[in-house]
Amino acid sequence: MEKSAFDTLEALGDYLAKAITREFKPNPKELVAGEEGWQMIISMAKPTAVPFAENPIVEMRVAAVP
Amino acid sequence: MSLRSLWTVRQAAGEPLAVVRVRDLHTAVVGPRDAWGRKHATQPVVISAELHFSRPFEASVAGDNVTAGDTVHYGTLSKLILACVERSNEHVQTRIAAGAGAASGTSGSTEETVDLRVLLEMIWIVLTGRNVNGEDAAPEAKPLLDLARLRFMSLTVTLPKASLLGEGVSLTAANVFPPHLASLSMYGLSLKIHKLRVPTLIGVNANERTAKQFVVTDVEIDRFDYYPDLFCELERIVVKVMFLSSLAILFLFSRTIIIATTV
Repeated sequence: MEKSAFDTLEALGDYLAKAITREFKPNPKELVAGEEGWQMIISMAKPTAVPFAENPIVEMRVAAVP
Repeated sequence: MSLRSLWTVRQAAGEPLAVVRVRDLHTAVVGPRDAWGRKHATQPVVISAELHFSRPFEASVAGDNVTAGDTVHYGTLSKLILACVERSNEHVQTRIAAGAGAASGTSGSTEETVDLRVLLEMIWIVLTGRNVNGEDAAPEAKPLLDLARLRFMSLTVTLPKASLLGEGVSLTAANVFPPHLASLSMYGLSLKIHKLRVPTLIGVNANERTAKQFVVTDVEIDRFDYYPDLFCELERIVVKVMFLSSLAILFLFSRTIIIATTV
């Protein structure tokens, strides 16, 4: 059985936000978030988690702070 | 104009009085990258425009016409958008034929190709005479819209086939034009990857540890004022993270969510 580091979508989303901040560099010479500072809105759905709902969804808005 | 989140721009416009929308206008485009990052592949593009007028439809109601200036003919709006895309396609194809297209695979200047941001800006200029950030664009022809009559405008350009594991990629621009307060005008730009489906091992219940299940992820980068097509790189990062989320290297996470307080 594989061991996952995350039980919750909240934790996975936070990790995803940090990974994007760390690795997504539109212009490597600039600040990672550009002058204005971009923000990520990450929405994750698990269709099979709640059988009688179309989707439970967890959504978060995170600043790309270098 | 200052760059704000799309939500802020829309809220600043207030509740609309009179709206004209064109939703999901389909055509083909050549220029933006495809799902594999290749340039110059012809692919479908879907365009939606939303216009909030600052006054109700008074003259057009009274005259029962669309020439009074307080609305816009949605047919004219649609044809203008389609013509803009077609002109862009001709321009790109001429460059390809002349061998002047950017075939190196690196992100060239905006003159070398028409990426998604350039396409959106071209349509925006044709409609408003201005760039997305509000600067005068010195358009070739008289713009369709009278910005003095608008409170809010949004334009979304979607590439439904530009994502390998998702349902598409879109770029949205929005402007708010507050009356009498030009200093409060603002613009928004947001890149979004829609519904990335990645099998992931996740869940608090024991049964969720026995097999992967789909996590369907939307990733939106808001306040993203940047030109070259980068959605393939973004998708690659997101998919890699989702697949690797079960590895032990994730002990480095700090579980701190950093919330932006800048406005």
